[in-house]
Amino acid sequence: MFNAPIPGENLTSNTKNYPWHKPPQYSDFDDAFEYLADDIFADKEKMASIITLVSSGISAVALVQMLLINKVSTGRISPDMSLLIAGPFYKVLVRLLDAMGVEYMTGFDTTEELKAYAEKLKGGGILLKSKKAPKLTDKQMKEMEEITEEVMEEIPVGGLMGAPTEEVE
Amino acid sequence: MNDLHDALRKAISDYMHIDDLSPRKQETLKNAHGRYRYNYDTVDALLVMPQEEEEESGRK
Repeated sequence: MFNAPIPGENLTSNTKNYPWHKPPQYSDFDDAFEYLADDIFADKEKMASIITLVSSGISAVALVQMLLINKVSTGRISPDMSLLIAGPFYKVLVRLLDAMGVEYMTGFDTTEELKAYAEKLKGGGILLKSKKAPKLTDKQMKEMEEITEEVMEEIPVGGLMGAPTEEVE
Repeated sequence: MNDLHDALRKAISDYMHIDDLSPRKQETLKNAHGRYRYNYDTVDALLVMPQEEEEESGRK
């Protein structure tokens, strides 16, 4: 109760503590664009993560928003620069994804396109390249059945209250 | 941060669908990037696929 802030205390706090309150690292558009290209497009691991994300249903617009807000929050670029750079960055990203043959949602899709994509995603047509189900031998099938039976027997029925109790005579 | 989300979406939409904007807005958008090295035309020509190149040469 006595630790509550006194009226006006917020005005005394240092508001320059956040990275986006300080001058950004890249204030020039060209420098910022080259930095993003080097940091994201030239990084194999980051591009692999991007491909995984867009293949799993995250739209390219959402991805660009996420990446740019991250750059703003770490003080690399200013919020205004993020708005200026968003269009070119998105365009290059989308072209790269097209060149790699990745199927993705743009973020400006129509309802029909969204439905078609959802169907593809449900059927595993995007993430899973091989559509053939794995074929099991008879031995493997028997083993699987045995394991399933064992597991089913071990499952307790009725929870803790349904556990067998010792009857007291 | 939600406002920045919306603003980013709008900025991307305007940049990608520039032909849908009014001529005045188109000019404003192109001028905003025009003074930099990576202007609208440069970015447009950055990753042109061979297929697109053929289409463009076919149009000419």
